[in-house]
Amino acid sequence: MFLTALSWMYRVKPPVRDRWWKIQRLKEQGRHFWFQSLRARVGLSRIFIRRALVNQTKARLARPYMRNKFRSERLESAVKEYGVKPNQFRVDLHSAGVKLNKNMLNVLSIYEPRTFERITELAQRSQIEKIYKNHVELPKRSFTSAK
Amino acid sequence: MSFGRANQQWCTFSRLWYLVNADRQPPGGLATLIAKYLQGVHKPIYHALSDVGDHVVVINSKSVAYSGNKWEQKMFHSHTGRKKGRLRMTAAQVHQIDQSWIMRRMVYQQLPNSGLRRTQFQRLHVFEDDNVPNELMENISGVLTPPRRIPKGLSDYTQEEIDAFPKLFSKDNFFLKR
Repeated sequence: MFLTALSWMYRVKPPVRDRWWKIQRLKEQGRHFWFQSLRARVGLSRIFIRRALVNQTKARLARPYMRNKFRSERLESAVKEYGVKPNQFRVDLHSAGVKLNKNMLNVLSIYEPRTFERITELAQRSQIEKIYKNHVELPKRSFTSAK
Repeated sequence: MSFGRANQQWCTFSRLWYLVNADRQPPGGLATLIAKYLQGVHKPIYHALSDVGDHVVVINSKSVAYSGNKWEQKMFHSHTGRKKGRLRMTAAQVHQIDQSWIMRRMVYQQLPNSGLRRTQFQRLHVFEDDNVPNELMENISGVLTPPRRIPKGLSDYTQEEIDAFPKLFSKDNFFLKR
């Protein structure tokens, strides 16, 4: 019986909710509702504020996927300008030992088009080398020997 | 006086003009190709919010070719918003009224529903035949390869090429006559 009484004493208490701080937070977050009164910002706009925060969370979770897709699309279009297949391009760069990531390739394709053209050429050369390798012995310094 | 890399930037963001021949091409397949160029998806600088699309001039839209029974089966709908205001026509009926409408409609459907849709659509120029005004033809810098390969007909060869073609046998007077 005494133990039960003690557990009631040491229970996990919920945090004390201060109405004043909540209002301050809503005022701060709903500052851009300048066309509404301060009272409405705390009352009506809190629905929009909550929805905005939910959307923000969703966007934060989806952002890496969107970014990845965006970079892939850009790289595809950049590679197609030189008549190279995008998937084959990735494979060939790997066999040539090029460690540039998707973002860096995007940057090169936009700001350094000549460098990017040479990279596509390198990919094509390494693809040819892979076929030749089955028939003849390649010299020591070849594009695909870097790997 | 040096402009630095300004010229490069102007060239990068300049709008190009492309020509497509819609002769015997599927409207939907051609529209997916055109919509990419109108949006600028084919460029490495593409971004959905920036307006980097190109112009596309489509010629011979009157001889566009649907496969299957689509001229009779495919319906285009419209509604005025009032009662009994529904309009429903087959592709063949629409094509009789306006021979460039189907091509424009298919491209408009392919463009994403964003604020830039109308702007990008304005860069599409569709002509029923190959009579394109000179002020448009002056701008054109490239030709797009349409999705369907057109076989060469007998009328496309000259008489010299036909004569030069090797013949296995020659017809005599009694050929296929009984």
